[in-house]
Amino acid sequence: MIKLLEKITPTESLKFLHRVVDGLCGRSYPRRIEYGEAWSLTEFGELTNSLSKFFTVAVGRKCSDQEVQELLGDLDSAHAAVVLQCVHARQEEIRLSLVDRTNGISSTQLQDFNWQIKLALSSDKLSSLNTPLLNLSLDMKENGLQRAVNIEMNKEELQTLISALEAANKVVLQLK
Amino acid sequence: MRFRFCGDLDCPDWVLAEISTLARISSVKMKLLCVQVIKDLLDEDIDYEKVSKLTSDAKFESGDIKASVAVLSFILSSAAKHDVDGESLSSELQQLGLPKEHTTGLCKSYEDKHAALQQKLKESSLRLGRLEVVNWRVDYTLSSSELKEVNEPVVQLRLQSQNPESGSSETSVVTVGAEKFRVLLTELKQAQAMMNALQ
Amino acid sequence: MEEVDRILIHSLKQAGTDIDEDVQSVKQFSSELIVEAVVRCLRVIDPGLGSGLSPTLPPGMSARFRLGMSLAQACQDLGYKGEIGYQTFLYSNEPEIRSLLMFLVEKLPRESAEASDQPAGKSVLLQKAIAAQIKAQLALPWLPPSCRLPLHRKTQSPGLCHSFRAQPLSLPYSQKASTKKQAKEVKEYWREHLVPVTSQPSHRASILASLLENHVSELSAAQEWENEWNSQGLLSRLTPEDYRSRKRARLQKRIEEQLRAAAQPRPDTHGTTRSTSDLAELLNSFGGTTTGGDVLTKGTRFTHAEKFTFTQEPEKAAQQMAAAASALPSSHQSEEDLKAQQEAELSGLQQQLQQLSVQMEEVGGDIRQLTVSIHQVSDELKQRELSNSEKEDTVRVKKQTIDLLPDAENNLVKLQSLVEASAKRVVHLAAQWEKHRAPLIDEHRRLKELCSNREMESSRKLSEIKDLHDKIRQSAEEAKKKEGLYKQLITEYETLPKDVSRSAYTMRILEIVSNIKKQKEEITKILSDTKDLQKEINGLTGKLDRTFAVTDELVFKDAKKDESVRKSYKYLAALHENCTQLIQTIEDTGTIMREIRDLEEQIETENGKKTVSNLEKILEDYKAIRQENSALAAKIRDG
Repeated sequence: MIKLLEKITPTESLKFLHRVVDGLCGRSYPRRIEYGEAWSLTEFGELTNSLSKFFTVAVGRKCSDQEVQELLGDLDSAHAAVVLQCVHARQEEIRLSLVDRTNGISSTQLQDFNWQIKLALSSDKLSSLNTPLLNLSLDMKENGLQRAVNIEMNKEELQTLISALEAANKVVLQLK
Repeated sequence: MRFRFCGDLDCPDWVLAEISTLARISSVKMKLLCVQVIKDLLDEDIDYEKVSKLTSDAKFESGDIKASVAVLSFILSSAAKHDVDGESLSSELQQLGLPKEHTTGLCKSYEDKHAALQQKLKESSLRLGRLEVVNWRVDYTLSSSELKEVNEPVVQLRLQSQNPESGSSETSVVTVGAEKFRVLLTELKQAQAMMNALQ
Repeated sequence: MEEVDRILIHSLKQAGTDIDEDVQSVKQFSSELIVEAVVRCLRVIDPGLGSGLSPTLPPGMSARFRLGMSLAQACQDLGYKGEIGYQTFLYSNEPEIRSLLMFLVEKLPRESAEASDQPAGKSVLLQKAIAAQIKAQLALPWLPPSCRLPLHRKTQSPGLCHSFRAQPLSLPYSQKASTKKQAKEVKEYWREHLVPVTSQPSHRASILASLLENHVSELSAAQEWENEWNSQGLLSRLTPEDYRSRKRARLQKRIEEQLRAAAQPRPDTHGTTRSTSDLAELLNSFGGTTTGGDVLTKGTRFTHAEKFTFTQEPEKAAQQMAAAASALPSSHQSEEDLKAQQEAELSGLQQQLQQLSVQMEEVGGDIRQLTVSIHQVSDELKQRELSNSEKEDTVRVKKQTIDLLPDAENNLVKLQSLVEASAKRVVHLAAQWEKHRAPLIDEHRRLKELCSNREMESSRKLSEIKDLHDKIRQSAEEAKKKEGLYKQLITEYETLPKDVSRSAYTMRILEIVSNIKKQKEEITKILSDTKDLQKEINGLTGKLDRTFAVTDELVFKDAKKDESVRKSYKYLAALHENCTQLIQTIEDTGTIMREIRDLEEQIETENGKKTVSNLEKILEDYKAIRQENSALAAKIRDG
């Protein structure tokens, strides 16, 4: 399938390859409209799919240049050189995104978090409360579905959370 | 008339009415009754037998007992809510017609437990969720189907928190990558610093 | 003076002295008030000095005297130049007290006012700000959402809310990438193909979030690394790269060991053998980074197992495929049959499996035994070989001696000479060795010393570096704190009403200065007037003298001739004398007048000193002291 790449010039294809890697790293894939003349819809889909797969394998297996060439099969040498260049340039980035995907092999992952500090001034129980509260909202992805967990913490609870996280961080630091 | 222990509002009529009921028992008995009511407010068990014994001298009916407990708990919790000191509470209660010996007894026990009452009220103020338990585990990923050599640590977090709607505790387990984890910790530390600066 | 007194009283009040409203000037100060004011001032100026003094006058006269003395001493310690003693406090006079109080008020520390409102007022400020904000929001009228201006949107509705969603960004020269040396291709990618960061995320709203998260991530990574480096890395005396790689190697080794330990115990069931084979592969990939040679003996077993399962796998897959294919056409058979068949097959297979595993175990036991015996045998072999070679050596020596036996004498001599020669050589060699050894040892010592010196130096430098780091951190913190304080003070300063009294004071000062100037001018005018008058007087007296001399001469000349002229001369002389007498009297009156004025002034000042009342007071105090003394004496006598 990668042979379809030969339909555009090597310089254009380098640009195209970089956009594919962008897509692989969680940004936007190239749009078909821009390449409408070169490939049909199915061709375009197949090409991007096989290219992403190729990049994952090439970086995931830590292939040498020779092995990459083998993976590319009978692609002509100019295009193969371009592909190799792209792999070299984006290796670290692809690796990071693959690490991300590896971390994604679990039922729930933390995607983002937001926090907010409020100063509770008064309540029905006490007229001058003056307690700072932290609202922590964790955006999780649970089996592909978004789910948010909201936790309101006062100072003591935050302290317990932070000390737990600190302890974990110590271990993480040892593992780096 | 406005009273500080009512939050600068007028005293409710029923309180006014029941204050005269309170005046019927002796000041010593009322002080003991106060101790019981404060116990109730602090979530220690109130001893109802003792309460009925305390009020038996004055020939209280069960309705009177209920009323006196209610009025005492209103006065005490409301005074603690608006952070009234014992002296002002005493003078305001005297203005409402409670005899002087009674007010001194009441205010004495109120002042003793003032801080504890306020702490209790603070704790029971509305909260939208609490953090109960945090557990963690650090995994070191060696290899995966995506990547042959990963060699990155991953943190598994288990947070047990109280759901603001149902009040029941719910547990969520979440995987956090090392980068995200570090960011989370840093941000939380910043938040803590801000919180500490607030007080 | 009134102005000065007002300022003095104001400052004294600030220092904590309780001054009544109706006390308007220093003249009205009583002894008690003076003592209190002085003690309060002293306490503020120097707490150590003032704490031993009581602000109230004690009742006993001698105690009062003592307090006065110590107060005077304290004021002199502070550097008061004027005359001061117990009498200043007990028998006060206005100007002395005024100058003393002015001195003390000037000495009052100015910072005390500023120090009192340190950042402690922060929470109060915040409360105020919150109150103001709420008030402002309450004052705003409610508007329907469609009519809201951006200003209202801020307070009345949350507006468009984007949740914080970060996406990974690709940035050149970021920390993540910088660990690798930047290849040519990477640089070219950054130059040619990297999309601007604003168009990288898929939603516009997440640009900011992504950038912020990226920044925090890199910042915290840098901080953590710095911490670790400062706490551990510096001490290890390695370069950062070395430190990192060593840590990585250590970690790898640890994980490897743990995995081995976990993988060893039970290769019994099929499932675990599979997993262990995967592990073994992993381990081998680990081992590949170190050396293949030092794989433990057990490792060989794993490689066998690995090969076994790996060769098996494709076959197994093929078998499964075949089974599935054969199962497909027969799927219309009744399910029960199928089940029974499968169960039978399953039990057969299980039996087979069990047999096989039993066999495996047996064979494994055999192999273990055999390897043990092989070890034993090879050990024995080695020992035998050793003894063999020893024996061969002895045989060779004995053979040589037997060969030498026939020509014993000759050979003996030869041998002796040989022995001597070798002895000499040994001595020679020893001498040579000594010769070489001494400088070498010296060198060794020198190098050792150098080494230890270096080590000391480096540890010293290390500690210095650590100190510096600490200092840097401290200074940074301090700077931050100071900046915060500065900001707060600025805001405070801005909120303060611009000092009105200050301009009033300057106005007044300017007025006073102009007044003084005017007075000075007047004084100079008067002075010049008096000078003119003096000159005139002098001129007139000179003229008078001259005219008198001339007339005297003329009249005297004529007097010899004429009787009437002699009379007139007599009159002239009398007139002159009378006139001089008159002038003399006038001058005398002037001086007396001046003296009177001086005396009056003196009386005034003496009156100001309240001498009479003070004397009376002194007399009374003296009596009091005598009484006290006699009382004490009586007590002693009684006692």
